[in-house]
Amino acid sequence: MAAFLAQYGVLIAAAVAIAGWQVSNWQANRRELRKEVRQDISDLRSAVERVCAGVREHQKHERSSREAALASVAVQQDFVLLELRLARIRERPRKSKSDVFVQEIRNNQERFFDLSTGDLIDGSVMLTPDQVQNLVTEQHVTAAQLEHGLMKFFFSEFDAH
Amino acid sequence: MQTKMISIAKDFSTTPAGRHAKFHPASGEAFRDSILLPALRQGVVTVDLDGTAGYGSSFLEEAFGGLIRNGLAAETVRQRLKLKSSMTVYSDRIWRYIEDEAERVAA
Repeated sequence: MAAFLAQYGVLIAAAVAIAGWQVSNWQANRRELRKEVRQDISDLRSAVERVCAGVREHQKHERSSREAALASVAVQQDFVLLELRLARIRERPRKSKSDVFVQEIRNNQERFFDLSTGDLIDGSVMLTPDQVQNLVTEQHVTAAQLEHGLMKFFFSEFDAH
Repeated sequence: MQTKMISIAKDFSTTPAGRHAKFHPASGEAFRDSILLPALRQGVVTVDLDGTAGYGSSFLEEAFGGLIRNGLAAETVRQRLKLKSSMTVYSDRIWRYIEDEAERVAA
């Protein structure tokens, strides 16, 4: 044993140090990635909330007014940001068990897009107050489902075993 | 059969919005009737969606789903329409609007 250690001790010590460094480096990269994805999700939730606020802003104004048109364009632009951030989440390498959450996010994103940029802010279609209320409620429920899907994706990627 | 490229930003508007031309000069109806439908009747059309301030679902549904409502067969649309977009949500939604309208008309 002593002869073995005398002959290979330096090599074993080096191997242990390299393995330790690799584990530590992998953990550090994983932490950084977790932070980046967490930030993306936080930005996405802000964009979802801005879209809801934009639709509320649109509702405050006469449907053919300049203010309503500006609110409508702002909602569309927030959707561009939303799509670009969601594309980063869709396209990054991920665990296969997260695929179901990515699809769920996509479905809710498309539903949210239809609800937020359709007749509610179009201005061409005259809606009754009840119809507006129903659409706004549905939009908020879909926004909550979208945000919930994002959190499920995050936990599936980083917190579950 | 001719092939045509249409850029919504260059050939129509950088701020497309709304469903009906009566309320929005750069509406989906205006784009469909003045540019897209005549071009699709001639041949294959590639629509470039990039370069605008974004789209609303009302614009996209009227422009593309409205093709079926205005007499173009769903199969013709599938064969002749090509979409180019860096935002996959737009192209995915457009195909969904076309298929939904095709199903509605067929029912």
